[in-house]
Amino acid sequence: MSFFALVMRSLAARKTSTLLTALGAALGVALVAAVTVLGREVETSYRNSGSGFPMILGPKGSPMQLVLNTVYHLDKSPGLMPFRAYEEMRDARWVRLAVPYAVGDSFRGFRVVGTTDAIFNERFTPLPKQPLKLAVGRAFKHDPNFFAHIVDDLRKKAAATSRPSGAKDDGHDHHHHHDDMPAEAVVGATVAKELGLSIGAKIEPTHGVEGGKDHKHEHLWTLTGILAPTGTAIDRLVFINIESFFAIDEHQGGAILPESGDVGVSAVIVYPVAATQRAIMMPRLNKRSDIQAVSPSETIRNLLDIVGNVDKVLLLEAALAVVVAILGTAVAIYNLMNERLREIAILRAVGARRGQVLGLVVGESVVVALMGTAVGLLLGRLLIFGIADHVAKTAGFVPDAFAPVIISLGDTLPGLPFEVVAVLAVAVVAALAGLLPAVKAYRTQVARHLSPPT
Amino acid sequence: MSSETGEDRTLRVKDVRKAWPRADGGRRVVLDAVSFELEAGGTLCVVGGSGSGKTTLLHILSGITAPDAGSVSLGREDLTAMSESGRDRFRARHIGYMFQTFNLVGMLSAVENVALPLVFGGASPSAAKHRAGVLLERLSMSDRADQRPAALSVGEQQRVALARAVVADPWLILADEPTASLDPRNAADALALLESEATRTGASLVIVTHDPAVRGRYARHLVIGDGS
Ligand SMILES: Nc1ncnc2c1ncn2[C@@H]1O[C@H](COP(=O)(O)OP(=O)(O)OP(=O)(O)O)[C@@H](O)[C@H]1O
Ligand SMILES: [Mg+2]
Repeated sequence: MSFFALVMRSLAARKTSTLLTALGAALGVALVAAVTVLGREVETSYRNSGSGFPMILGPKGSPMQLVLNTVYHLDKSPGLMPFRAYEEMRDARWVRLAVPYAVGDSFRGFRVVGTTDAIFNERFTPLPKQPLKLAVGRAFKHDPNFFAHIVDDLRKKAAATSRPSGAKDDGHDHHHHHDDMPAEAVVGATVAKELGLSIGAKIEPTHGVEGGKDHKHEHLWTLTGILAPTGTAIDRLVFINIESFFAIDEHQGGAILPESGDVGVSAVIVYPVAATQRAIMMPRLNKRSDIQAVSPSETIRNLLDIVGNVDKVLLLEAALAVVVAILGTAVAIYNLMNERLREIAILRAVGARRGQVLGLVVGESVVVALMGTAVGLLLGRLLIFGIADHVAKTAGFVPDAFAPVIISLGDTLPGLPFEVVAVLAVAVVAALAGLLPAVKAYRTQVARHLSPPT
Repeated sequence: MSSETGEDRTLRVKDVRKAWPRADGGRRVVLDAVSFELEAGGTLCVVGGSGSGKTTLLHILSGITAPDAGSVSLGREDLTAMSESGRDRFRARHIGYMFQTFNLVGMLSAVENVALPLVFGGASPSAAKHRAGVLLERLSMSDRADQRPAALSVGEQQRVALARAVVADPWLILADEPTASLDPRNAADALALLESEATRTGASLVIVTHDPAVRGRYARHLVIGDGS
């Protein structure tokens, strides 16, 4: 029988108290773990967005809304920007890649994005250095000439309707194009999985992102590819070729902007040739009256500064809950101490030194707290695992519940895994708290407590 | 047996005094200048009426209680000159104590109770358990070794207490009323076991009793109080 076995025996003899106090610690630790892990995942996801989406153009308005809608596909689209600005970016020398997004439709609860084949370009990297990959099938067909043609038609139509005479000439010529236009879709991994889609499936988007009751378009899209999972909002998207999106009359994407008379598009993701270009171009673009340019990483940083504080408050509360639980453990041991004075006197009389008795009681406090911690750490991770789907739907990223979380301990020390830090911190707090009953045990007067109470 | 190697293990008690505070604020002298010597391997029977201070004397001999005056030494070690932790260590290594009420630890099995002095003395867990098991076997207790004290008969508890007192090969075994809760036959058996273990380990033995039958077994007596 080891010293540790003695500690365990003593705890087993007080099973109910041990389990209850360990449970208290477990719940507190679970909360700390969940807040920490989720906080880290939020940060990682938002940091990734900075490199994946270096700059976003959109209509004037809230930068946050533009970022949330374009990167995380949350919130409503802030509106439309002139298509001309997209063409400008596409052709600008300082731009390496421009990806237009036309949003506003949904398919059975998943948002639809009309875009070009630029999303399959290796520079389109929603995660750092990771272009989109197809798990099965092929990319949708995008025909730039045909697309240009449709935009042209739309612009002509706009010019015609804005003429005071309102003459409806040659309006019929356009429709024969639309019939042989490819209407193809590529879906994110989650969409395919949840809807059970396979290549060749027919996709029938409805107008409006809430999905459901809005009337359906007459058109059917054919599923040509399914993307590999990314852990980002892209997993929950349906991409269709933008020309097919624009060809539908009632689309916002094909809507005419009254101010500019141009066709509208929701947003444009811009990859500058170099970071310096972005720094130079951002303020210039923002001087314009028709568009705004935002840097998601900056916008998100601002958001995180606010959320981050909420995060810290939560973490502090959770940590306090752990400390209170550990103190509760110590108090429970302390309260049972009176019944144990005889037992401790016996141990002393048969050879235990004061220090050993002290260690025994401190050991009990530490073991109970660490048992709770082990359970709590697992519970916290499982909690994140359990809400991962919900987070994906509401926050636009998939938290990895079992991602390693490294806690930095300052600039000079190497970081440690969160679990190690938690165990060390709990052990120290529990040892300190355990001193309360342990000192009582230490001070036990052997002679007085050796005989049974008379 | 190190006593045969010439090492001094004689118990020397000189002028030990102890008074306990009384409820009325005064002091009651329990031990008044107690002196004796017990050579290594010898047996001393301490007798005296209830409340005469027998247990107090054993506590002082084991270093659990410090005397008000006088000295206790075992061999060359002076217990009364030691610090409390020094006495603790000395007790763990050299003194085996059998309590008046056995004082077994309820949450531990018989064999674990017996192993306690070894564990606190720093023995490896497996070595401690092994030695405890061997000792219980010698006391015909191997089939009861894994029982908690509550599941043992009084006689069995008594043997566990005996085993715990001798397991660390002490120089001195202190037995406080070892037969108090036993019938005469079991009492005789228990004393025989105690004596044989003391002989086997070469330990000196101090037995406290107020039972005349026990008293009659031993040649050397120390009478405490009025001797009634
Ligand atoms: N720690 C203590 N504090 C105060 N008084 C004590 C203490 N221990 C013992 N006494 C008193 O000292 C006296 C002697 O007690 P002790 O236990 O040594 O007697 P005893 O001879 O062992 O008696 P018994 O035969 O009943 O076991 C008693 O009056 C007792 O109340
Ligand atoms: Mg007594």
